[in-house]
Amino acid sequence: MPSIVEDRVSEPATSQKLTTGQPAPSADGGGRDTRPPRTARGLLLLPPWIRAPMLGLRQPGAFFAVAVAAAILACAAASAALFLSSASSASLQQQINDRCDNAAYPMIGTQTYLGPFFRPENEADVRPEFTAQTDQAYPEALARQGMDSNPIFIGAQSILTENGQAPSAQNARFVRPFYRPGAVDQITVLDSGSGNGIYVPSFVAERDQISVGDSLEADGASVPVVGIYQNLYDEPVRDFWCSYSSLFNNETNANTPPADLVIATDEATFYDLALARDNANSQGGMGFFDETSVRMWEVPVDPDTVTSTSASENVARQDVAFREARSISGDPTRPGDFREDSFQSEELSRLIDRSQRLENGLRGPVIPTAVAGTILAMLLVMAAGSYWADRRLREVRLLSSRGVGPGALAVKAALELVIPAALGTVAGYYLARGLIALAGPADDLDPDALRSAILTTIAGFVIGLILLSSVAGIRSRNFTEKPIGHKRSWLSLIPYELILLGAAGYLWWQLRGQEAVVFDGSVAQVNGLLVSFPLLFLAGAAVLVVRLIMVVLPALRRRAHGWSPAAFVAVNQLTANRVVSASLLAALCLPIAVLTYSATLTASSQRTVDSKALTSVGAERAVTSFGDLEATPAVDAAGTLVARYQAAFVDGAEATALGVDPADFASEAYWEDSFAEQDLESMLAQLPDMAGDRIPVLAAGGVPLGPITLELGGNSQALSLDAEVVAVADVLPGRRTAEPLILLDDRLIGVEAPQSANLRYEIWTNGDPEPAAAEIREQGARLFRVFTTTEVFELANFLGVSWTFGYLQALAGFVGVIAIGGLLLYLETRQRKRTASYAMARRMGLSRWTHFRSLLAELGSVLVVALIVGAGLAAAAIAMAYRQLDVDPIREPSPLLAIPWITLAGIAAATIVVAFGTAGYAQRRSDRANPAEVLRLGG
Amino acid sequence: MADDRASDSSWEFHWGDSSFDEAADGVPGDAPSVLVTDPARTAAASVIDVGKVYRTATEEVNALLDVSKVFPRGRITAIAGPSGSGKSSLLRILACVDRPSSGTVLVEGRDVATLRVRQRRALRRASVSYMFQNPIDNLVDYLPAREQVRLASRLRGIRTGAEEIERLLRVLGLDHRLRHTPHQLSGGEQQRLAAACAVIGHPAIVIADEPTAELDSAAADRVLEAFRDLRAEGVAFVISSHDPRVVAIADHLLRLDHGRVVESN
Ligand SMILES: Nc1ncnc2c1ncn2[C@@H]1O[C@H](COP(=O)(O)OP(=O)(O)OP(=O)(O)O)[C@@H](O)[C@H]1O
Ligand SMILES: [Mg+2]
Repeated sequence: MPSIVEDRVSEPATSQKLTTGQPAPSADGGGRDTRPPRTARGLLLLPPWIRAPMLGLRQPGAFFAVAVAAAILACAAASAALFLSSASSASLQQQINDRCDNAAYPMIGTQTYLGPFFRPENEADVRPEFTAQTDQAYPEALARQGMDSNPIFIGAQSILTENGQAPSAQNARFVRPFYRPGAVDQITVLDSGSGNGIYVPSFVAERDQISVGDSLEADGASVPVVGIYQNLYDEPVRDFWCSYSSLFNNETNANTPPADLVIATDEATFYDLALARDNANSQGGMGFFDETSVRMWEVPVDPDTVTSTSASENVARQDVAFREARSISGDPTRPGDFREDSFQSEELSRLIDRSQRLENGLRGPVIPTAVAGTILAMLLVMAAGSYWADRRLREVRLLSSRGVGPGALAVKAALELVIPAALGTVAGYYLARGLIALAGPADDLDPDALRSAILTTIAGFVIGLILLSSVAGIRSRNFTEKPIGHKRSWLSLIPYELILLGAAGYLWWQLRGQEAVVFDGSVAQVNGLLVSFPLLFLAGAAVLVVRLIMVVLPALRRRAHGWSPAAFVAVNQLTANRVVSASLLAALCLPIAVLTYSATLTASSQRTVDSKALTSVGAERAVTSFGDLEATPAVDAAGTLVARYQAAFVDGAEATALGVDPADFASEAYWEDSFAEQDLESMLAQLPDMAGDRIPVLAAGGVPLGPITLELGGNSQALSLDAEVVAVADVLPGRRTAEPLILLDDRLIGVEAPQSANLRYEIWTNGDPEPAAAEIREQGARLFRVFTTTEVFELANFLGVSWTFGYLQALAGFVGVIAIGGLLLYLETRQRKRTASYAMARRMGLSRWTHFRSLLAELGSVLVVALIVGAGLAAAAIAMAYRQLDVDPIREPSPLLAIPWITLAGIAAATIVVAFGTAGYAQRRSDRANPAEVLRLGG
Repeated sequence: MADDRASDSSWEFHWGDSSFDEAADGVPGDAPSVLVTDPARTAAASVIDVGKVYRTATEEVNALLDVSKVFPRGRITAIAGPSGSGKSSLLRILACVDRPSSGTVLVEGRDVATLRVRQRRALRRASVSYMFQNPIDNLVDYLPAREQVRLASRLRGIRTGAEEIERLLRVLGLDHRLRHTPHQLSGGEQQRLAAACAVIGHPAIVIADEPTAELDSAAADRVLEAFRDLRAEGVAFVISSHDPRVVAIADHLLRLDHGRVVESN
């Protein structure tokens, strides 16, 4: 069997016979190689794979790029779940804040008649036994749910006994026993003794000459008085008493004030009084038979850390405890005793429901936003993969030239980058949590939300790593395998962005038929279309515009020959790799457009809400009075006097008429130029002089120009006036109803309006309301109330709107970071080529300063074009969408546009800073590089 | 032995691109029946009427025009010609990393044009070595000399014993450098080590694009000597160069100008 070597080499060049790598002949002869199959696992055991994780650590540039890209991806992937949870916690906490703390407390209780109850079969009083049972059963049922409870006992009103005599009905004086642990620490104690007993309020102590050491007798029971406390209605309500204030404050202005609260130091004292009351009742005594003692057990929780999950869990446990407690055996009252009633707190589940609505409303716009952000972050991750391939050019090109396929190279990339990617992912997750804690609605997150945030982060990590390594593998393969000079496939010529634009158009069409803000209950929710439509539109249009720009770039390049060296170099750099320049441009356009769009819509919706509130009030404040007011210099100084004829009719249709002072109405009244074609002053100027024999009036709300009959008052005594509408406006200040509003100078009326006109005087002011209030008192009228803009809307209802756009802006800022990251990767990737051409250009006499200017021109032109295109596209999207964004269609005016100049200036400033920063960075990199090394590598 | 060679070449495709196991990797059918007398088929590689046109946005460059050449085993073929004459283009086509615009390329009797991507990759892995001009580009930074060769052999799917690797390195005068990493080697030593990596595992053809361009003349001489020594491996060497010394050591010569063959022997 001759060796192949001998067979092929007729004249051996060396005497030494080499058999390197020569496989042993196989059993069937024929000299065939029997190479072991090179399996994937076989490859993974070779040094380039085995050592990959360590090799990755030796590439600080790629390590950093991948870690940052992974962090951004993780941040985007985690943010939606975290944000939604944060928003729902915040809305829950806000609602609890607006109420008493114990709105958040689980609570179960029973309202029971405590008096004797005789079972028909044995005639024994089983009530005390049952009372003792319930006393145990309720807290125990809660304890079984892991909840420590505090009792709160509120007795029925007891009747004080005087000198051992029950008083007559007219003279009856009532006290109400109250027991809650710690109550004694939450009152101002005026005098106290020792032992168990009751604290009586100072009012009772003074009236009945009671002092510490005496006994209080009620319904035949006698309990020692161990303290006197300051009447609770004489001091500000403490948190402890927040939800019991109706027990001592005469909140309904009832003729009979509430019974005086006597505070028991212990349960036994409470029961002494409560049982005595029910005994008296059952003996047919005078009293309030229907009123029974309430005993409840509540579980204090910290209202500032409540989350939807913790609240829902508490509601569920409360419910279990409630069912257990009410089913205790030996309940003599069930069925059939109407006075026994178990209950549980329903407040918390109502609040949960509301914050759930808010969260649901946010989901629509937030999820597409987060998905868009995640997709963009993935693009950055892919760019980082490409960057890795570039940094590892030598080794991956070598492996690829030796027949290692893209799959194996991708695995290598994954192994090299898994550590930075994992570190970045962890950092990004915590970054997202940090951002939510810092800038989010609340930093209390549901465990469920954390779980799903972690899951989406892990999914993002896995998908990101796959994309990263796929790009790295494909790009590595392209170093050796990509046929050079091949034709572009028709697939790459399809303008895919038209699909995005088509989808955006479809969503826009859908949006036109819908409200942009929908109300679930009273909670405003932003229609998801208002977010997904512009995202698709902006992305698609940005790519389309950039594609068009790229079409004209070669023409620009041809013309650039006559330009300055800096401009010439810049244009050449940009045209050298049009795809990269185009991607960069599109990537920079997008955040600018999204930020402009979302900032504008936020500002606009804010301005619209403010404007609606101001229109409704008329000015910042309307100080309203009971009783007539006259225009005096003092009134004019305090604001402007407005006479509101609440019952007016225009040609028989309901309306409101405002009698105003044309001289100074405009100085206080709220006005936007968009409300009418003329300004307010010139319209008011037409009011004082009669239009012929008619009273000139201004009208808003569909009353046309021309003569009208204005009636003040609704019945037969209505005052009918001939009026002439001399100017119309879309909106006039002070419009609080959907009816038309008429403005007139009511001094022209001459006679007093009838009672039925329902005239109310108001002083509108944008300043301190106190002078106006003082003037009302001065004129002998009564201050009714100060009506302010904050009372028009319950602002909590609009949290969802501002949060939605806040999130969108956060995304835009985030995309800006991605774009800057992309810009740096772009510079890094092209650095070798750039340094090579820089070195050449320097030799050809190009100065350092010219080179810097060319860099500035290159990057600056990309950024400025991105700014212009981004802002232009945003303007288009805003023009299409903002009119839909009516947070309250019933109130005037319709949506107003507010341009967030500060944000726009910030974007422009950031653009300039980034242009100079990146140009300086690239210049320094070029200066420091070794041109010889760079030229030899040749890009 | 032509039959032997023909059937010999089929195994490579049976285990084919097994790195990412694809069952259908093999060349359809077995080795084609070939004529013993057809030198194009029995040689390590050959190009027949190969043309290459580069299309750019603005123009078309005819880099190669009707180039034909047979590259026999155990011989060094030099590709000479002025800059821009198409040397690198021809080498890339031979190395199966680029496709010709026209004509046929045969490597170990396979018409490269008929192969699918994975098959071409498998062919490259088993039968083709490509040496970059810059010596360091042919080596992995972090491995000592002996491991470089072992890696090259393993990438071909072959386990080579330590003695054989050492013997090969001894032939190239690198026996005292077994534990040195690339950065501890001179440029000439690096390129000789690269040559060892190129011939290990018995490829059909070793392609070197200006392998001496980065070296001083003494180192270049030593590298060219190494190529001569390695002819005994039964590998066809195809070396492009401006360097007359390359032409001097070569067994065959192909001279190009503006993409055309001006001398061939
Ligand atoms: N990717 C490409 N696109 C367009 N034209 C190319 C490309 N690669 C090479 N060319 C052109 O093809 C021709 C042959 O180039 P090639 O690199 O093969 O020459 P060469 O003989 O190797 O030159 P050198 O000795 O300078 O390396 C040249 O005119 C070159 O400009
Ligand atoms: Mg060349």
